[in-house]
Amino acid sequence: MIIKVSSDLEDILPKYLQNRKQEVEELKSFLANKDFESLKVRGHRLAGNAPSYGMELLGSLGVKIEADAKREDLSNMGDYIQEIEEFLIQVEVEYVDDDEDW
Amino acid sequence: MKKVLILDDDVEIHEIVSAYAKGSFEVSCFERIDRAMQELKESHFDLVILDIGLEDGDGIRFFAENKEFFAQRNCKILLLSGEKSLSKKLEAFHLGAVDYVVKPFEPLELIARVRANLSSEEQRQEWYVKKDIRFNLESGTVFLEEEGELNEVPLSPIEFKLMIFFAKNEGRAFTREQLLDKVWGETLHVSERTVDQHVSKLRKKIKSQFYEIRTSRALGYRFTALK
Repeated sequence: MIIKVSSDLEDILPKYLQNRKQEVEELKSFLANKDFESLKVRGHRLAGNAPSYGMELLGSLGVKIEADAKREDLSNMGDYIQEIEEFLIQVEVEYVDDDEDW
Repeated sequence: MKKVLILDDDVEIHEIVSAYAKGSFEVSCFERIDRAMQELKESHFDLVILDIGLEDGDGIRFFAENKEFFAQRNCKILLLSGEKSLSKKLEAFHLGAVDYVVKPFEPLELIARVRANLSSEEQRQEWYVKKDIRFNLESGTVFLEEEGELNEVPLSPIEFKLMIFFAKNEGRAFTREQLLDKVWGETLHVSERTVDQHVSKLRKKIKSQFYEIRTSRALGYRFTALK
Protein backbone atom coordinates (compact mmCIF):
# COMPACT_ATOMS: atom_id res chain seq x y z
CA MET A 1 0.00 0.00 0.00
CA ILE A 2 1.64 3.24 -1.17
CA ILE A 3 0.62 6.51 0.46
CA LYS A 4 1.79 9.85 -0.87
CA VAL A 5 2.54 12.45 1.78
CA SER A 6 4.12 15.88 1.81
CA SER A 7 7.91 15.95 1.73
CA ASP A 8 7.63 18.39 4.65
CA LEU A 9 6.92 15.32 6.77
CA GLU A 10 10.01 13.38 5.74
CA ASP A 11 11.84 14.12 8.98
CA ILE A 12 9.03 13.27 11.37
CA LEU A 13 6.84 10.64 9.71
CA PRO A 14 9.14 7.62 10.36
CA LYS A 15 9.03 8.40 14.08
CA TYR A 16 5.28 8.89 13.95
CA LEU A 17 4.79 5.45 12.37
CA GLN A 18 7.18 3.88 14.85
CA ASN A 19 5.17 5.41 17.69
CA ARG A 20 2.00 3.92 16.24
CA LYS A 21 3.59 0.46 16.14
CA GLN A 22 4.37 0.77 19.83
CA GLU A 23 0.86 2.04 20.43
CA VAL A 24 -0.64 -1.11 18.90
CA GLU A 25 0.82 -3.11 21.78
CA GLU A 26 -0.60 -0.63 24.27
CA LEU A 27 -4.02 -0.78 22.61
CA LYS A 28 -4.00 -4.57 22.87
CA SER A 29 -3.20 -4.24 26.54
CA PHE A 30 -6.01 -1.71 27.09
CA LEU A 31 -8.40 -4.07 25.29
CA ALA A 32 -7.33 -7.03 27.41
CA ASN A 33 -7.84 -4.97 30.57
CA LYS A 34 -11.11 -3.44 29.32
CA ASP A 35 -9.57 -0.03 29.91
CA PHE A 36 -12.24 2.00 28.12
CA GLU A 37 -10.87 5.39 29.18
CA SER A 38 -7.41 4.75 27.73
CA LEU A 39 -8.91 3.34 24.54
CA LYS A 40 -11.09 6.43 24.23
CA VAL A 41 -8.16 8.81 24.73
CA ARG A 42 -5.88 6.99 22.28
CA GLY A 43 -8.66 6.68 19.72
CA HIS A 44 -9.40 10.38 20.06
CA ARG A 45 -5.76 11.32 19.56
CA LEU A 46 -5.35 9.02 16.59
CA ALA A 47 -8.46 10.51 15.00
CA GLY A 48 -7.04 13.98 15.56
CA ASN A 49 -3.46 13.51 14.45
CA ALA A 50 -3.28 10.73 11.82
CA PRO A 51 -4.94 12.61 8.89
CA SER A 52 -2.53 15.52 9.43
CA TYR A 53 0.27 13.03 8.76
CA GLY A 54 -1.51 11.82 5.62
CA MET A 55 -2.76 8.64 7.32
CA GLU A 56 -6.51 8.86 6.72
CA LEU A 57 -7.18 5.17 7.40
CA LEU A 58 -5.58 5.40 10.85
CA GLY A 59 -7.68 8.48 11.52
CA SER A 60 -10.92 6.70 10.67
CA LEU A 61 -9.93 3.74 12.86
CA GLY A 62 -9.22 6.21 15.66
CA VAL A 63 -12.75 7.57 15.29
CA LYS A 64 -14.18 4.05 15.59
CA ILE A 65 -12.03 3.17 18.60
CA GLU A 66 -13.06 6.33 20.41
CA ALA A 67 -16.75 5.89 19.62
CA ASP A 68 -16.87 2.25 20.66
CA ALA A 69 -14.84 2.90 23.81
CA LYS A 70 -17.32 5.62 24.79
CA ARG A 71 -20.13 3.09 24.43
CA GLU A 72 -18.01 0.49 26.25
CA ASP A 73 -18.46 -1.78 23.25
CA LEU A 74 -15.46 -4.02 22.69
CA SER A 75 -17.03 -6.33 20.10
CA ASN A 76 -15.09 -4.84 17.16
CA MET A 77 -12.15 -3.35 19.04
CA GLY A 78 -9.81 -6.26 18.30
CA ASP A 79 -10.54 -5.92 14.59
CA TYR A 80 -9.75 -2.18 14.63
CA ILE A 81 -6.44 -2.78 16.36
CA GLN A 82 -5.60 -5.57 13.93
CA GLU A 83 -6.39 -3.24 11.00
CA ILE A 84 -3.97 -0.69 12.42
CA GLU A 85 -1.31 -3.34 12.83
CA GLU A 86 -1.73 -4.63 9.27
CA PHE A 87 -1.76 -1.12 7.86
CA LEU A 88 1.53 -0.32 9.60
CA ILE A 89 3.11 -3.47 8.17
CA GLN A 90 1.92 -2.83 4.64
CA VAL A 91 2.24 0.93 4.30
CA GLU A 92 4.90 2.38 2.01
CA VAL A 93 5.38 6.11 2.02
CA GLU A 94 6.18 8.20 -1.02
CA TYR A 95 7.15 11.78 -0.29
CA VAL A 96 5.98 14.40 -2.75
CA ASP A 97 6.33 18.16 -2.91
CA ASP A 98 3.29 20.11 -1.76
CA ASP A 99 2.73 21.63 -5.18
CA GLU A 100 2.46 18.18 -6.77
CA ASP A 101 -0.91 16.55 -7.15
CA TRP A 102 -1.28 14.16 -4.21
CA MET B 1 10.55 36.08 15.05
CA LYS B 2 7.03 35.77 16.48
CA LYS B 3 6.56 33.27 19.30
CA VAL B 4 3.78 30.71 19.48
CA LEU B 5 3.00 28.40 22.38
CA ILE B 6 1.21 25.10 21.73
CA LEU B 7 -0.76 23.63 24.61
CA ASP B 8 -1.93 20.18 23.53
CA ASP B 9 -1.60 16.85 25.31
CA ASP B 10 -0.82 15.06 22.02
CA VAL B 11 2.91 15.22 21.28
CA GLU B 12 2.27 14.22 17.66
CA ILE B 13 0.50 17.55 17.24
CA HIS B 14 3.56 19.31 18.69
CA GLU B 15 5.78 17.53 16.18
CA ILE B 16 3.77 18.29 13.10
CA VAL B 17 3.05 21.93 13.89
CA SER B 18 6.71 22.51 14.80
CA ALA B 19 7.83 20.88 11.54
CA TYR B 20 5.61 23.09 9.42
CA ALA B 21 6.27 26.24 11.45
CA LYS B 22 10.01 26.23 10.75
CA GLY B 23 11.05 29.61 9.40
CA SER B 24 7.63 31.15 10.05
CA PHE B 25 7.52 31.43 13.82
CA GLU B 26 9.18 30.05 16.94
CA VAL B 27 7.27 27.27 18.68
CA SER B 28 7.27 26.11 22.32
CA CYS B 29 5.22 23.03 23.16
CA PHE B 30 3.51 22.00 26.38
CA GLU B 31 1.24 19.12 27.36
CA ARG B 32 0.10 20.43 30.73
CA ILE B 33 -1.72 23.61 31.68
CA ASP B 34 0.42 24.40 34.73
CA ARG B 35 3.70 24.15 32.79
CA ALA B 36 2.33 26.24 29.95
CA MET B 37 1.05 28.89 32.34
CA GLN B 38 4.43 29.10 34.03
CA GLU B 39 6.08 29.71 30.66
CA LEU B 40 3.44 32.24 29.63
CA LYS B 41 4.20 34.23 32.79
CA GLU B 42 7.92 34.17 32.13
CA SER B 43 8.01 34.86 28.39
CA HIS B 44 5.96 36.82 25.92
CA PHE B 45 4.07 34.81 23.31
CA ASP B 46 2.21 36.32 20.40
CA LEU B 47 -0.24 33.47 20.03
CA VAL B 48 -1.31 30.29 21.81
CA ILE B 49 -2.58 27.24 19.93
CA LEU B 50 -4.85 25.79 22.56
CA ASP B 51 -6.39 22.34 22.62
CA ILE B 52 -9.75 22.03 24.37
CA GLY B 53 -9.74 18.46 25.66
CA LEU B 54 -6.57 18.51 27.72
CA GLU B 55 -5.68 15.74 30.13
CA ASP B 56 -5.44 18.13 33.06
CA GLY B 57 -8.32 20.43 32.22
CA ASP B 58 -10.59 22.11 29.73
CA GLY B 59 -8.89 24.52 27.32
CA ILE B 60 -11.94 26.77 27.01
CA ARG B 61 -12.18 27.08 30.80
CA PHE B 62 -8.44 27.81 31.01
CA PHE B 63 -8.90 30.55 28.40
CA ALA B 64 -11.95 31.99 30.20
CA GLU B 65 -10.17 32.05 33.56
CA ASN B 66 -7.14 33.83 32.09
CA LYS B 67 -8.84 36.05 29.54
CA GLU B 68 -7.50 39.26 31.06
CA PHE B 69 -4.01 37.81 31.38
CA PHE B 70 -3.91 37.09 27.64
CA ALA B 71 -5.48 40.44 26.72
CA GLN B 72 -2.98 42.40 28.77
CA ARG B 73 -0.12 40.60 27.08
CA ASN B 74 -1.63 40.95 23.62
CA CYS B 75 -1.47 37.19 23.28
CA LYS B 76 -3.93 35.76 20.76
CA ILE B 77 -5.69 32.44 21.28
CA LEU B 78 -6.36 29.94 18.51
CA LEU B 79 -8.42 26.94 19.56
CA LEU B 80 -7.50 23.58 18.06
CA SER B 81 -9.93 20.82 18.85
CA GLY B 82 -11.69 17.68 17.71
CA GLU B 83 -14.88 19.29 19.02
CA LYS B 84 -16.86 20.34 15.93
CA SER B 85 -20.03 21.69 17.54
CA LEU B 86 -21.15 25.18 16.65
CA SER B 87 -21.87 25.99 20.29
CA LYS B 88 -18.24 25.26 21.24
CA LYS B 89 -16.93 27.40 18.40
CA LEU B 90 -19.23 30.26 19.34
CA GLU B 91 -18.17 29.98 22.98
CA ALA B 92 -14.53 30.27 21.91
CA PHE B 93 -15.14 33.29 19.68
CA HIS B 94 -17.31 34.91 22.35
CA LEU B 95 -14.34 34.70 24.72
CA GLY B 96 -12.14 36.41 22.14
CA ALA B 97 -10.41 33.58 20.30
CA VAL B 98 -8.99 34.74 16.98
CA ASP B 99 -9.61 31.40 15.28
CA TYR B 100 -10.93 27.88 15.77
CA VAL B 101 -9.46 24.95 13.84
CA VAL B 102 -11.05 21.51 13.96
CA LYS B 103 -8.94 18.36 14.20
CA PRO B 104 -7.93 16.61 12.07
CA PHE B 105 -6.48 19.62 10.34
CA GLU B 106 -4.40 20.31 7.28
CA PRO B 107 -1.04 21.51 8.68
CA LEU B 108 -0.43 24.04 5.92
CA GLU B 109 -3.82 25.59 6.56
CA LEU B 110 -3.18 25.84 10.29
CA ILE B 111 0.18 27.53 9.69
CA ALA B 112 -1.44 29.93 7.22
CA ARG B 113 -4.12 30.82 9.77
CA VAL B 114 -1.53 31.44 12.49
CA ARG B 115 0.54 33.61 10.15
CA ALA B 116 -2.52 35.59 9.08
CA ASN B 117 -3.43 36.25 12.69
CA LEU B 118 0.08 37.27 13.59
CA SER B 119 0.33 39.69 10.68
CA SER B 120 -3.10 41.21 11.31
CA GLU B 121 -2.06 41.59 14.94
CA GLU B 122 0.89 43.67 13.75
CA GLN B 123 -1.41 45.93 11.77
CA ARG B 124 -3.86 46.70 14.56
CA GLN B 125 -1.70 46.28 17.60
CA GLU B 126 -3.37 47.35 20.77
CA TRP B 127 -0.39 46.72 23.01
CA TYR B 128 3.27 47.52 22.60
CA VAL B 129 5.51 45.42 24.81
CA LYS B 130 9.10 45.94 25.93
CA LYS B 131 9.68 42.98 28.25
CA ASP B 132 8.24 44.12 31.61
CA ILE B 133 6.91 47.44 30.28
CA ARG B 134 3.57 47.21 28.47
CA PHE B 135 1.95 50.11 26.67
CA ASN B 136 -1.75 50.02 25.95
CA LEU B 137 -1.92 52.09 22.79
CA GLU B 138 -5.68 52.41 22.86
CA SER B 139 -6.02 53.78 26.37
CA GLY B 140 -2.62 55.48 26.55
CA THR B 141 -1.73 53.63 29.74
CA VAL B 142 1.44 51.87 30.84
CA PHE B 143 1.76 48.73 32.93
CA LEU B 144 4.83 47.37 34.64
CA GLU B 145 5.12 43.65 35.20
CA GLU B 146 6.35 42.94 38.70
CA GLU B 147 6.56 39.40 40.08
CA GLY B 148 4.07 38.10 37.52
CA GLU B 149 1.54 40.88 38.10
CA LEU B 150 0.78 43.85 35.89
CA ASN B 151 0.59 47.15 37.74
CA GLU B 152 -0.55 50.32 36.05
CA VAL B 153 1.89 53.22 36.21
CA PRO B 154 0.07 56.54 36.38
CA LEU B 155 1.48 58.72 33.62
CA SER B 156 0.37 62.02 32.17
CA PRO B 157 -0.37 62.00 28.41
CA ILE B 158 2.94 63.68 27.62
CA GLU B 159 4.85 61.26 29.86
CA PHE B 160 3.19 58.37 28.01
CA LYS B 161 4.14 59.90 24.68
CA LEU B 162 7.73 60.43 25.79
CA MET B 163 8.05 56.95 27.28
CA ILE B 164 6.75 55.12 24.22
CA PHE B 165 8.93 57.25 21.98
CA PHE B 166 11.95 56.14 24.00
CA ALA B 167 10.80 52.49 23.97
CA LYS B 168 10.30 52.43 20.23
CA ASN B 169 13.73 53.92 19.70
CA GLU B 170 15.71 51.69 22.03
CA GLY B 171 19.43 52.39 21.98
CA ARG B 172 19.17 55.70 20.12
CA ALA B 173 20.26 58.91 21.83
CA PHE B 174 18.19 62.06 21.44
CA THR B 175 19.04 65.61 22.37
CA ARG B 176 16.56 67.66 24.36
CA GLU B 177 15.84 69.64 21.24
CA GLN B 178 15.12 66.50 19.24
CA LEU B 179 12.82 65.18 21.97
CA LEU B 180 10.93 68.48 22.08
CA ASP B 181 10.49 68.26 18.33
CA LYS B 182 9.51 64.58 18.19
CA VAL B 183 7.38 64.33 21.33
CA TRP B 184 6.02 67.78 22.09
CA GLY B 185 5.79 68.72 18.42
CA GLU B 186 4.41 72.12 17.68
CA THR B 187 3.71 72.97 21.31
CA LEU B 188 5.24 76.32 22.14
CA HIS B 189 6.42 77.78 25.46
CA VAL B 190 8.28 74.62 26.42
CA SER B 191 11.88 74.87 27.48
CA GLU B 192 14.51 72.17 27.23
CA ARG B 193 14.42 72.01 31.02
CA THR B 194 10.93 70.53 30.70
CA VAL B 195 12.44 67.45 29.07
CA ASP B 196 14.73 66.95 32.06
CA GLN B 197 11.78 67.18 34.45
CA HIS B 198 9.75 64.62 32.52
CA VAL B 199 12.64 62.21 32.17
CA SER B 200 13.25 62.49 35.89
CA LYS B 201 9.59 61.62 36.59
CA LEU B 202 9.68 58.65 34.23
CA ARG B 203 12.78 57.31 35.93
CA LYS B 204 11.04 57.49 39.30
CA LYS B 205 7.77 55.98 38.08
CA ILE B 206 9.01 53.18 35.84
CA LYS B 207 11.46 50.90 37.61
CA SER B 208 11.98 48.33 34.89
CA GLN B 209 14.10 45.26 35.54
CA PHE B 210 15.38 45.43 31.99
CA TYR B 211 15.59 49.03 30.82
CA GLU B 212 16.59 52.48 31.92
CA ILE B 213 16.69 55.96 30.47
CA ARG B 214 20.36 56.81 30.46
CA THR B 215 21.92 60.22 30.11
CA SER B 216 24.38 60.36 27.25
CA ARG B 217 26.85 63.13 27.78
CA ALA B 218 26.49 65.72 25.03
CA LEU B 219 23.94 63.59 23.19
CA GLY B 220 20.97 63.77 25.53
CA TYR B 221 18.89 60.79 26.61
CA ARG B 222 18.82 57.17 25.55
CA PHE B 223 16.44 54.33 26.44
CA THR B 224 18.58 51.26 26.76
CA ALA B 225 18.90 47.83 28.33
CA LEU B 226 20.27 47.74 31.85
CA LYS B 227 23.84 46.58 32.03
